Amino acid sequence: MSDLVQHWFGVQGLDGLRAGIAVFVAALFTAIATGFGAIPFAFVRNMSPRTMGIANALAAGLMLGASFGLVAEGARHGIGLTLAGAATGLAFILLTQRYLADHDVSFGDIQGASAQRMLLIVVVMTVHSFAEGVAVGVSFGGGASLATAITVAIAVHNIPEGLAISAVLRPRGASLLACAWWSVFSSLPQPIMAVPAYLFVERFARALPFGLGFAAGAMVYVVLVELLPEAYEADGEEHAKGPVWAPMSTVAATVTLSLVAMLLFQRALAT
Amino acid sequence: MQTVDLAGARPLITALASALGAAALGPALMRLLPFNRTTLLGAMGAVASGVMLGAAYLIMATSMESWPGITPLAAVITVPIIFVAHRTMRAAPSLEMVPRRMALLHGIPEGLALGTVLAAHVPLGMWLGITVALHNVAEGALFDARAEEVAGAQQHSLGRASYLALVDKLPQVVFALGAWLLVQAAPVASAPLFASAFAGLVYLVIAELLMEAYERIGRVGVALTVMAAGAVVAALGGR
Repeated sequence: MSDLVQHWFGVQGLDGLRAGIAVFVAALFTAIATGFGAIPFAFVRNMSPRTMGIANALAAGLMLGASFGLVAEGARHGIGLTLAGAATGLAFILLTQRYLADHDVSFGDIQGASAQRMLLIVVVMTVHSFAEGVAVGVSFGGGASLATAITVAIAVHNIPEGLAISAVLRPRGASLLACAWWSVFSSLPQPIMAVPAYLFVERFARALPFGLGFAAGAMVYVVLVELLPEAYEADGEEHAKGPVWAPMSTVAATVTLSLVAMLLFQRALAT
Repeated sequence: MQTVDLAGARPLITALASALGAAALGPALMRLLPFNRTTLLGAMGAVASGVMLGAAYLIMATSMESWPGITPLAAVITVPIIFVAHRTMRAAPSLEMVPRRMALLHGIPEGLALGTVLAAHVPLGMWLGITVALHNVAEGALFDARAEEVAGAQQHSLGRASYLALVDKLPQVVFALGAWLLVQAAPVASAPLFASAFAGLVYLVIAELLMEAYERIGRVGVALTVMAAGAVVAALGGR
C-alpha cells in the first residue's frame, strides 16, 4: 500500500496520501460552497439585476485580491516564471472558452434562448473552475497560510457564482435543489484539478511560481471577462441613457472594499 | 516631528516633471499615431488600468507590512469619501466640465501615492514615477478624447489639448508635494496616505477607466491589455 501511494503520488507514504486527501477535501469544500448561492432563492424567485451586480463586484474584488496574493507569492520564487505561468493560464482559459463556444452542446431537455443562457453560465463557470481548482492545489504548495487564504477566498467567491447561476436557472423554472446542484456541479473541476496541481507542485518545486502565475492569470481573466462586465451591465441600467463612460460608483466601491478585505485577510493569515 | 530635507526633493521633482510631460504627450499621441482611434483609446484605458492596479497593490502591500492595523482601516474610510467626491464631481453643471473634473479627481490619489512613496522609499518611488508617467500618457489621451466627444466638432488644437492635459494633472503635483512634505515631517503619516492612495486608485480605475476600455475594445481586449500592463508593473516592482 505504502509503495503504491509513493508510486502514484511521488511523495512519502501515508503523509503524502493524507496531504492529497486534505487538498481534495479543501477543494471539495470550495465546490460545495457554490451551492450556498442558491439559498437566497428559497425566499425569492427573482433577484434584482443591481443586487446581482453587487454580488459580481464582490466576487471580482475577492478574486483580484486572491490573484495579487498568488502573484506576490510567485514573485518571491521568480517573477519570470510567475509571469510565464500567468500568460499560460490566460491562454489556457481563453482557448478553452473559444473551443466550447464553437461547439454545439445540449443542456438536458431545455431548449431555446433560455437554455442557451442557462448552458452558457454553467459552462463558463465550470470552465473557469478548472483554474480555481489549480489555484487551490498550487496554493497548498506555497504554505498553510497561503493555502487557507486561497481556499477560503475561492469558497467565498464561489457563493456569488452560485448566486449568479441560480439567478439564471430559478426564474426559468428550475427547482431550488436543481439550482444548488448545478451550482455545485460548475465547481466540481476544483477538487478534480486541485490534487494533480498540488502533486505537480510538490514534485517539481521549481514549477511553483509557474503554477501560482497560471492560476492568477486564469482568475484575473475571469474577473475581467466575466465578473466585472456583468457587474457593470447590472449597475449600468440607471445610466442607460448617459454617455458610454457613465460612472459605476457602486461597483467601484464594492470592488475596492472587497479587495481591501481580501488583502487584510491574507495579511492576518500570514502573521 | 522631523526636519524636512528639501535637498532630497530632487527625485520627486524629476518624477513630477516626467509625469506632467507624459500627460501632455497623451493628446499628441492620440492625434498623430496612425491607428484606429477607438481601439487606441480603449487600449490606453486598459493600459492605464493595469498599470494603476499593479501599482496600487504594491504600495498597499508595502504599507501593510509596516502598518498592518492602520493601513486597511484608512483604506476603508477612504472608500465612502471617494464615493461621495466622485458622485459630487460628476454632477457638474455642464457636461463639458465632467472630463476636466474627472481628470482633476484622478490626480489626487496618484499624487498622494507618488509623494508618499518618494518620501518613504526612493527606489520604489522612482519605479512608481515611471509607472505614473506611463499611466499619464494614457489618461491624458483619454480625457482629451472625452472632452472632444462631449464638445462635438469643437476640437481643441493640439497645443491647447496638451496644455489642458498638463493643467488637469496639477492636483497630482500639489498632492504629491503635500504628501512628500507631510511624510518627511511625520513618517507615520505614510500609512493613511498609502491607504488613501490605494483606495482612490482602485476605485477610479473601476469606476472610470476600465468601463471606458470595455466600451471601446471589448472584454477580451481589456483582459489581455490589462494583464500585459500589470505584468510589466509586476516585472518592474517584483525585482
